[in-house]
Amino acid sequence: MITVEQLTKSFGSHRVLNGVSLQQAASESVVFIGPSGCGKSTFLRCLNQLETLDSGRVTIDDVTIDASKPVHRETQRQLRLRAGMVFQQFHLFPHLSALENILEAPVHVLGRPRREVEAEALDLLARVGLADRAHHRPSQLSGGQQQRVAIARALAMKPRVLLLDEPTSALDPELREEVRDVLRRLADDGLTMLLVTHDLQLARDVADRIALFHGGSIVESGSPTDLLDHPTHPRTREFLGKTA
Amino acid sequence: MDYPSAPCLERLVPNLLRRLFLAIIFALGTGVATPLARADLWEDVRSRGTLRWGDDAEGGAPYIYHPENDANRLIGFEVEFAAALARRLGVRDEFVQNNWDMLLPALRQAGSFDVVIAGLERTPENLGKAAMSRPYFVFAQQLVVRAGETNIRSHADLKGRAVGVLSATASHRLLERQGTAEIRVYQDNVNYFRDLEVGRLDAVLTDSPIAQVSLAGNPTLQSAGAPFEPGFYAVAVPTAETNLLARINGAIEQLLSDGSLEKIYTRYGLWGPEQESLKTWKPTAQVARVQRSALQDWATYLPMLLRAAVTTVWVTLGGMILAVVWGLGLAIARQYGPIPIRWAATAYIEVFRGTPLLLQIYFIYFGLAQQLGLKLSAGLAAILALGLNYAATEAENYRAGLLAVPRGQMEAALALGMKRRVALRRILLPQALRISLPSVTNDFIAMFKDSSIVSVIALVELTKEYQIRAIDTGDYLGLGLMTAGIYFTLSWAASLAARYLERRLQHDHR
Repeated sequence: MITVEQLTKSFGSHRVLNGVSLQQAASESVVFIGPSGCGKSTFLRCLNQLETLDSGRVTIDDVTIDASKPVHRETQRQLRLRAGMVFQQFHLFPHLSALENILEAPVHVLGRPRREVEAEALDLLARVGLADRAHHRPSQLSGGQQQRVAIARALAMKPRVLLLDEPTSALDPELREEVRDVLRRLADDGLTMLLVTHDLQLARDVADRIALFHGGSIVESGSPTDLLDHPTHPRTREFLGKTA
Repeated sequence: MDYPSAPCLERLVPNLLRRLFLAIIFALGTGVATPLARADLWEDVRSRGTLRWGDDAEGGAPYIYHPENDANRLIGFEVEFAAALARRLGVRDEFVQNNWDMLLPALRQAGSFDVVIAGLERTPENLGKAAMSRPYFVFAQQLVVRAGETNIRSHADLKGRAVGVLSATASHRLLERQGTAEIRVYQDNVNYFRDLEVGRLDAVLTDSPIAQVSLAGNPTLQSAGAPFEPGFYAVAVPTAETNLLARINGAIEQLLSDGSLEKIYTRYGLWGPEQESLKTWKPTAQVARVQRSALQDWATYLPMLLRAAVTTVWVTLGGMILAVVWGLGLAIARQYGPIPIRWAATAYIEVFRGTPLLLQIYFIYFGLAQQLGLKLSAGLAAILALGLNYAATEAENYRAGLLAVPRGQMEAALALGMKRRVALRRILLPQALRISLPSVTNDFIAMFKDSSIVSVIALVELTKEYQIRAIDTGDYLGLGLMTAGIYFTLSWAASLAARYLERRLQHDHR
C-alpha cells in the first residue's frame, strides 16, 4: 500500500531525513515513535507532499512521486486524495460547523451531491461519538472533540491510508482516551494507518508494527511487544527509558 | 494602521474647521456689540500708506492673471484698476491673496485687507454682507456653446441642457431662478470651457469678460445670443466704513471722468458703449437683503442639503463597491499570482497609495478626456477615482487578513485534495474577510467624508452644497450645523450597520 524508498530531506544544511525506506501493507497500522526533532513528522508531511522530497520515491496505492522527476501539482493532489491527514493541532475550519467541516471536501473537491454526503457525514460523526455535535463550531468543541471531527473529516474522503501526526499530543491527558478509543476501533476495522506519536499507550493499542525514528532514519522496528518490552537497540532503550 | 486617504482628510478637515471657526467668530462678533468706537479704516489706510485689496489670483484673464512668460507678475484689468484707485487715493496698492469664495467673510472678520476688488457684483446679497462702492465695470451674462451648435441660441433654449456656471455667481443664481437647465457648478472659469469642448456640457453661462477672453482665438467655441442681464462690479468695503467708501466712490468717479479707466479697459479690449453708462450711474434704491440665520429658513435649506447628501451617498456606495471588489482582486494577485502579476499588483497599490486622491480625480476626469478622448461623466469619474484609490487600501486590508489566517488552514485544505484556488475561495478568504471587516468598514466611513473632494469635478455633493449656500447667505454657522448633522447622522448609521455586521459574523465564527 505504501512504499517509500531512500527518502531524504534537508532544511538548509540540516539533514532531517536520511534515506528512509518503508514497506507497509494494506490494513497494516504502523506507528513511528522517537524523540522530538527526529524527523518523524517531516516524514509524514513528505508522504502527502506538504513538504517536497530532496531525493527518493514515495508510492501510495497507484500514485508515485519520484524526486528525480518533475512533480506535477495534479500528481500531488492525487496522492493526497489517497492519503488522509490528521494534524496535531486539528486545523478544523473555524468558520464551518463540525458537519460542514466534514462535507466541505467531498462536496467541493469530489463534487458529490450534498444530500448524499450529509448522510455519510452524520454516520461518521456517530462513529466518532459526536452525533449530537454536528452543528457546533470548532470553538464550541473541546480539543478531543475537535480531533475526532478532524478524523471524521479525513475519513469522509475515503482515503486508502490515514496519516496521523501526533493526534493526541495537543490534548489534556484526560481527553486523550476518547481519541485513542476512536483510533483503536479504526485499526480493528482494518484501516491502513501510519501514525507518528509520543503516546506509547496509543502506539501499543493500535500498532501492528512500531518503528523507532532517530536522527532521520529508522533504527529499529518490530511488533509492539518486541519493541516496547524487549528493545534491542540502545537508542530505543534510551528513548523508552526517558519516556517511561 | 496606515491610511493613504489621510492627506485628503487633512486637506478637508482644516478647511471645514476654518469655516466653522470663522462662523463662530462671526456669530460672536455680531452677537456682542463692540463697546469701543472703531478706528476709522480710511485713517489706517492713509497712515499706513497702502490700500490692501483682496482678490484670488486664480481669477484668471482678464481680471487677474499671470502673463504667459512671467509667473511672478500679476496683470489684468482689476489689477490695474486697483493700482489706479490707490494712486488716486494717494497711497500704494498691496495685493492680498484670498480664496475667492471666502473674500467677503474674510473682509468682515479677518482684517488682512481693507477692500475687495474681485469682480464682486453689486447685488442685494452682497450689499447685505458689505458696503459696495459705485460700480467700476459693467458686465452682462453671456452664453457660450460649441462652434456649430444650432439648437441653443439663447438662454431660453437651456431646458434640460447641462450648463456650466461658476459657483455662487450671478450666472449661477440666474439659472437657479430659471430652474430649467441642469446646472453644473465649477470652482474656476477654465474647466467648464474644457468640459464644453469635450461635450460634457451643452453650454456655459458666464460673465461677458470671461466669455470674451475665452472665445478669442478659440475656434471650437462660439457665443450664443447677445449679452443679457447687465450687472455691475463694485469694490466691497467693510459695512461701517463710510469714510473709506466715500473716498473710494470719489476716486472711481475721477478715474471715469479723466479717462483713466477707459485707457485701462481698452488695453484689455473691454471698453465699449456700455461702460460709458458708468459715468452717469446714480445709485437706485437698492435694498440690502437682510442677513438672517439659515436655521430660521431650515425648511428651505435642509431639503437642498439632503438632496446633495444623496449624491454623497451614491458616490460613496459606488466607490466602495468598486474598492471592495477590485481590492480583493489586487490582494489575491499580490499574494498568490504568478510573479509578473504579483509585481503589477504591488506597483498598482504603491502608486495609488502614494499619490494624492485629488490628483487621481483630475487625471481620470480631465486627463483621460484630453489624451484619450475618454469622456467619463462626473459621477462615473468620481466613483472610479474613489474606488480605484481605495482599492489599494482595501487590498492591503485583505492581505493583512490573509496573512492572519494560520498556515495550517491551507495545509489542511490541501491535504483534503483541494486545489489552491478552491482552498483560497472556500477556506482562506471567508476567514480573511472576517478579519479585515473592521478595517474595511472603517474605510467606508472615511470615504464617506473623503467624497467631498469630488466637488472639484463639478459634482455638487453635501460639502459643496454647504459652501454654495453659505456664500449665498453668509450663515456659515447655521448651515454648518445642519451639514454636520447630516454627515454625522449618516456616518453614525453606517457605523451601527458595520457594528451589527461584525457582531453577526463574529457570532458565526464561534
